Amino acid sequence: MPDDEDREVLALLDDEYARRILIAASEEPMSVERLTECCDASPPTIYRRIDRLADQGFLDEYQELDPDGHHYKTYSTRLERVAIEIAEGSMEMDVYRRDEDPADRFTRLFEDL
Amino acid sequence: MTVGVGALGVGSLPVLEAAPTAFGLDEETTIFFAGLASAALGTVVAWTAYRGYARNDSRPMLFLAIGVAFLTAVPFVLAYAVDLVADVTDAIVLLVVTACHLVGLVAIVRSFRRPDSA
Repeated sequence: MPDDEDREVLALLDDEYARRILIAASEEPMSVERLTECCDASPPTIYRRIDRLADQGFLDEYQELDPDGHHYKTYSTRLERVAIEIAEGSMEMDVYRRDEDPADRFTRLFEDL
Repeated sequence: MTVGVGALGVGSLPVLEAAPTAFGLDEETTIFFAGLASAALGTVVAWTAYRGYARNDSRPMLFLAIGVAFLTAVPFVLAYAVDLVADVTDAIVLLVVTACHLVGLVAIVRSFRRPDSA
């Protein structure tokens, strides 16, 4: 039987907005503003989905600084693959997450100096 | 004249005594391969920094990428290119390499400036 965490993963993947966020943020880190545009959703909707996706470790979070000196966050997709195996009367789910891209880690380290 | 330029490789050093080095290669060949290894590693670091700039829109990373390239790969390539194009003295080759290093360090110093202070 799927446990609560498996259910949450399935619920997220069933959610149109959560899927759009994962797809959009898989190419490059994206701000909430950009996600709002490309997912065609309101900021509150995006924020709610981001919280749930981040709780599952499906998103990486970066702190950015815009030219005015304001901090804002960008997100990039970590979820790579979900495998569901059904055999012998049970269902097993494996979630594969990507490691952070070395270029992003390098940027983070250098900017935090 | 034999000048110590680290592992950057300077073309056609007059080899006074072709003493074989640890790998049984002459000095010039050893310098070339050491320089090639540095240039290759430098290219990996510079490319990673450049991708960091492209992915995160981080200007400091662009300057860091330029800086690392000018400290490693660029002088290596130029040192041999200058030598191929014209028969120049070692002093000229060394001048080119040193100029590259200066450009690279200026770029890295520039990368310390935060976007908010630009």
